[in-house]
Amino acid sequence: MAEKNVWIVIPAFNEEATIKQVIKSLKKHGWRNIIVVDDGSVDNTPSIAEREDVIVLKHIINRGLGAALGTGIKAALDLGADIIVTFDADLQHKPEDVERLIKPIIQGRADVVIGSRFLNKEYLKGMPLSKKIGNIGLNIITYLLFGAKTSDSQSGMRAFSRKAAQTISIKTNRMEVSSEIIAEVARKKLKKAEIPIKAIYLRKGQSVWDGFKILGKLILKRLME
Amino acid sequence: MLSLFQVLALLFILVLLVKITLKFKNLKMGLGEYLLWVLIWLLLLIVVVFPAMTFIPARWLGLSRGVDVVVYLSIGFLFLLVYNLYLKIEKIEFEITTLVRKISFKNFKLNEKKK
Repeated sequence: MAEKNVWIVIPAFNEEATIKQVIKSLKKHGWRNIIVVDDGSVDNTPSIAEREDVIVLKHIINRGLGAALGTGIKAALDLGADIIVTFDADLQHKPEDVERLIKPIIQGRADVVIGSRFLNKEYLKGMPLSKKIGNIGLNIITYLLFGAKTSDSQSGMRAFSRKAAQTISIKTNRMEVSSEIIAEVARKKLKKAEIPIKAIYLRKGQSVWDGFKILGKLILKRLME
Repeated sequence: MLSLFQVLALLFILVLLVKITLKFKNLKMGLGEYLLWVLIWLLLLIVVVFPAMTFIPARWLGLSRGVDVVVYLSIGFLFLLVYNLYLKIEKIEFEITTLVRKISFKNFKLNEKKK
């Protein structure tokens, strides 16, 4: 753990209720290099994060998840990261999973690791049915449109080797970025691994409507390329 | 005699021709783009005044009615226009994100210096 320079990137948009706990729990597990990208929040997310002694980059206007991830990954690369982990700000991910997530990269078995919510049936129990259907639907769409296979195309928990982070180009600004990353991994022929993670849903995340918006954007992206 | 529709269409085309000419004169439009638009509107002008003329290109294309040529061409033209707009918007979105990103880096460095 100590020999690799690991940076955690947390994209945050109006997450004042959870951001502090997310940072604190990551630090408790030994992850001290943390970049919070505040994506134009209108609440106190940035000031709360700044009090936690982490790097806080502030988008002056909301640009969406893809843009926030892009900013965080670029900053981590500039700071000399060997491994970059993306982590959600809404407490749905568990910090103890990070170590398992980066293991395949450290062992040289993968360039990109996806924390998949679908690999362990036990872990799936807490997921609402609409989310299950939506996620599986978007996995199929990601495969059909971009030829990229994955068990969880919408996961927010991923790890990139430095090489992978430099190679992948993120062009989309909004939520469709998750599928875009999966597609990029396939297109650039990077080695991908997946490890099971458990997600905890405390609040309402993305809605069914958001799922359809992602679907529309992905089809448009494929058509216009 | 021209029908009311033809008169309205002619007025519309004339207004647009004047508009783009003014734009061209004020150097807000290049020569190539200007000529392209003039050509498009003049063609439409001909079609409006002599609708029967469209039967010639219709015959070339194997279509029975002249009006079909106009409709198909219009749809094709609109599609191109939308595609162009899509590309432009994508580019602008990308540029905005690049700017927002640069500003976030700059502001962070400034804050670090203050500390």
